[in-house]
Amino acid sequence: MIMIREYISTIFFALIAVFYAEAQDESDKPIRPVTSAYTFAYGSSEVADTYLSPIIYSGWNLALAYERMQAMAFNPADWVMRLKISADASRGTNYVGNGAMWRGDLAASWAMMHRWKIPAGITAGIGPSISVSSGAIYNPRNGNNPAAAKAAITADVSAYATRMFRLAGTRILARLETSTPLIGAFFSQQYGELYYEIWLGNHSGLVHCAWPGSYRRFDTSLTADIELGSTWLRIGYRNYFHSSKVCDITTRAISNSFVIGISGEWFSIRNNSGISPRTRVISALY
Amino acid sequence: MIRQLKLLLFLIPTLLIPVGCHEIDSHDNDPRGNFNALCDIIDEHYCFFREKNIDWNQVRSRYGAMISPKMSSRELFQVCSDMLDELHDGHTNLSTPFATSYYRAWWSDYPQNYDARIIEQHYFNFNYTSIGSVYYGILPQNVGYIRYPSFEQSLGDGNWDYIFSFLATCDALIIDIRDNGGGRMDNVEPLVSRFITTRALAGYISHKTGPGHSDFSEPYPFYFNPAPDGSVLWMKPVAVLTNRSTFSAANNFASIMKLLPQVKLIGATTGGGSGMPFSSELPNGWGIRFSACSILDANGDPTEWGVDPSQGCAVDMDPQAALDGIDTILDFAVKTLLSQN
Repeated sequence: MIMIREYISTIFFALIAVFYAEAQDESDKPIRPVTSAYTFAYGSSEVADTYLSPIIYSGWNLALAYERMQAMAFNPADWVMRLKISADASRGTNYVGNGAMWRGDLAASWAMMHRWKIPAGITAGIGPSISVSSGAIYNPRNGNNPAAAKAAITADVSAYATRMFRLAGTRILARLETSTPLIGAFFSQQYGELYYEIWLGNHSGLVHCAWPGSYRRFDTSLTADIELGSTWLRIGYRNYFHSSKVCDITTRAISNSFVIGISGEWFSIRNNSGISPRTRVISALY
Repeated sequence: MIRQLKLLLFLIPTLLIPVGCHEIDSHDNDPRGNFNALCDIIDEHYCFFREKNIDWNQVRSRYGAMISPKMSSRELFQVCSDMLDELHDGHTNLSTPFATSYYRAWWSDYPQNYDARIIEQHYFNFNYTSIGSVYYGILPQNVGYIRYPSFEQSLGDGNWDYIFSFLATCDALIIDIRDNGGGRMDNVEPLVSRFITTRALAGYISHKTGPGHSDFSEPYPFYFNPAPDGSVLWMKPVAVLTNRSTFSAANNFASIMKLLPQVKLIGATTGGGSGMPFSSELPNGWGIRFSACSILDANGDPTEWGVDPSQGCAVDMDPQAALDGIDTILDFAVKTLLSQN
């Protein structure tokens, strides 16, 4: 009984100590600005899906993306989070130009990355992320198999490296980032299965394990954020690579795009109290 | 330093991830390449090699000997379409800018057994009701008649209610699907649903699970439900008229209706076409359509070769009588139905 009483009182005082420390640190809490970016990408694409056609279609790709990065509250110096939402659309034609194939994809991912300051002024981060995506590839010349639906949820590894430098007095933040899935699940109809059969109610064998042997995706971008006052201009290059093979159906989507957009760091201050000289500002990127 | 080493250790597995694309077989855009592409597509996707006892490798090598690098597109088309005819499949077509191949023997080797004008003129005096492509009316013997020329066009539940309400006082019903070349499979259920009162097994579907000739899924049963509550159903005798040009979705409709107790299939064996077609293409842009997914009837039997008429109901049109405006299949159906009442 005495032991239990001592145990409870220890927890009680520990909680008081935690609340006290929280209250005392409120003013010293670092500010963690949100780095937001809205980008538009346009470039070339290659799309193939052997359920629809054995031919690789080539054409254009267009993408819109929103990205938000922020140092994480529990350890802002070492951990950052990134939320990314993107929409891709591609259209390609076959070799002789008498057939078109469309691809649409919506994707969202959330990453939590540990970062290190490594030599040469580079900040590098890596960590796990989770991605969800859904879309379809559509070939209008086909009759009973005009489209192949796509959906996946994957646990990924994401990484980035940044370096800030000045050019003609203007600050420029160079960044290389990439992500790739390690494990997950994705949707695919069987080799010769019609969507009519799925519509009739046969839902077996539609979800497959995603692993690097069956499902590969790299979403890599190299960008430069150029400071223009409080807003930054983002320009760069994006390479999107997706290849999957399951049920003897091979799907491929590759795009190389020029990226342009705006980015900026934003933070809010409570009660118009300003920023204490002691307050640290910890960016997510550098 | 230790942290940087940790980072490297973390990165190594990522670098080991295979980064290449999964391979997609490609063929050159020349006569040999296009021929091989066509042969591979059929070899890997066609679903009736076993039922039709076709040795595709033998067919391929026989026609492959006719391919030469300098042959024209029309010559290549002719060799390819002759080769595809070996499949004996009305769902197989090679589409080019100048021609579409078509295997016709599944109906051209048989009597047509249908003349639309005879019924429209001599049985209805052009006094029938049309709704979309469907027309209906009442024959003098108080037998209802519905002509459904194609399952490509659909009618809504409300349309069918009007039709069946109009025919409700008839003693029997004839559904004429002669020369109905098929269309959308999902247009079959709304009509079948008027003749069933409980959920009924309509058939099985089996798809290919891989490129091998024996790679098939277990047949998956599919069911049709009765028409929604409040709909007009038909439980009196029914005759479904068929000929050799009753094909694909219409063949499927015939196979389902034949197994219902109040229904008799009257006329000639249907044309088959029970393989749901897939589409693909060759490097030169030609399109290829072929049977890829087999539909079986409710007994689990294939209907690719057609559905036979009900016992004692096989009848052809008498060409001599047709000249006098008599459809002997229709007359036989009326007589059979009235004898059931």
